[in-house]
Amino acid sequence: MKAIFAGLAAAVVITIAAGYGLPQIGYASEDVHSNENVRLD
Amino acid sequence: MLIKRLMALFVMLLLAGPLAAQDRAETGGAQTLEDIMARQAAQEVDDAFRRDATGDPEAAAATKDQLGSLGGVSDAEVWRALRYDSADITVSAGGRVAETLVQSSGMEWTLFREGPLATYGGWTLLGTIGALILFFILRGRIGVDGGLAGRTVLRFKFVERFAHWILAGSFIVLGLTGLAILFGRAFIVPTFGHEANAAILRFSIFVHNNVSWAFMLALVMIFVMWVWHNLPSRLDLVWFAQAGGIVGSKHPPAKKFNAGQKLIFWSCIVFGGLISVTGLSLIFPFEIPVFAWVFGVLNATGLAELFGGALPTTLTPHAEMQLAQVLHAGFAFLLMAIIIAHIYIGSVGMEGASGAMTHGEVDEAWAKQHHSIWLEEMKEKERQPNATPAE
Repeated sequence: MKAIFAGLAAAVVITIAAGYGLPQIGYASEDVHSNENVRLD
Repeated sequence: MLIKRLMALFVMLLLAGPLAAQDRAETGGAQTLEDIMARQAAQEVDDAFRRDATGDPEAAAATKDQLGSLGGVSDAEVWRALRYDSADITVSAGGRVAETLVQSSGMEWTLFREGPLATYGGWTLLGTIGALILFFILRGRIGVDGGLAGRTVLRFKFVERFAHWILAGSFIVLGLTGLAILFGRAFIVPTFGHEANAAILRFSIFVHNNVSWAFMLALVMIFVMWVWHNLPSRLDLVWFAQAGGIVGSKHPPAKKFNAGQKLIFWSCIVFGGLISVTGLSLIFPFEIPVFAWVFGVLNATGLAELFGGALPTTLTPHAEMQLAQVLHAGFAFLLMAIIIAHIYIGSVGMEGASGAMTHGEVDEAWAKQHHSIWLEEMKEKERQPNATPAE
């Protein structure tokens, strides 16, 4: 059963890491497909 | 009554005529009533007479003349060029994506996504579950002949089970969130309302996009660990000839993976790989256009004939995304149906199977019945010093 919990926990960790990590390094469509001409902020 | 029938016949004759060869002089080259009626009847209309009528730069009027600033085209021709995405547009942001102002296939995609894709996909899953319930009623649980031996053998090492459960856990989450994204508007909105649907789908998309990395990583892991054991062999023919012992009472010999498990493995690799590529195309919108290239290869190899002729090799960025979404969901439905069957046979459908992926051990009698050659190899290695499990 350890393998089940370890596998599922790894999936959760990867998900969270990807969710918060990718935008931090610029892989966010919001950053890629907009520029100052169309951004309101 | 007779007049009605004659009118119907007249309309049919009109519609059946060669539309491309119509004389459109009376409309000045614009579409005619026959064109409109044919389109309403969902018939193929050659719209080159409109698509190509976007002005002639060679005949451009001088800038001091009327229409000169439009480069030799009329207002109608400018709008037509916008309609068919052939106008020379300059945008300050967004690139090629923003230059496409009208994209007809977007509506075809929407109709396909909400129609056949959702309908056939949904029924594929329900049909698979129904077929398995029926199979269980008719066949019952596949038992171990002569009962369990009480002695176990290690079937999968920790790292194999670890990768399997990353893949399984992520795929189940991907499947559920993917179904929510596809069916949310049809099933969540009527019960819980638009706001709840929007909140659920925002969460689903976040989870779906990010858990996908776990799925892709695990897919690579199982490919590396198991590809050698899943190469086709002559034993697979015997397994298929005896229906794997699932139907009937014979138990064909097998190594670590039998032919049925090889089918599951290659389904995961092939469909999972295609889902991953199309999914990456969706996660990074407009960054990974693959279909223009794929269609070019299909055209060059002649395989495009299978799809009814040459495929377009110039696609708008939007069309690339729409194709990616449709194929992503289509392959996902297929893989979900296969995995539902896999879950069935690995749990309630077969006695003694689940231990292989939970604690890693299986009963020797089960192993002898389903993987007799692998069991012999394992016993042989046990007799040798420095033996390693499940290899």
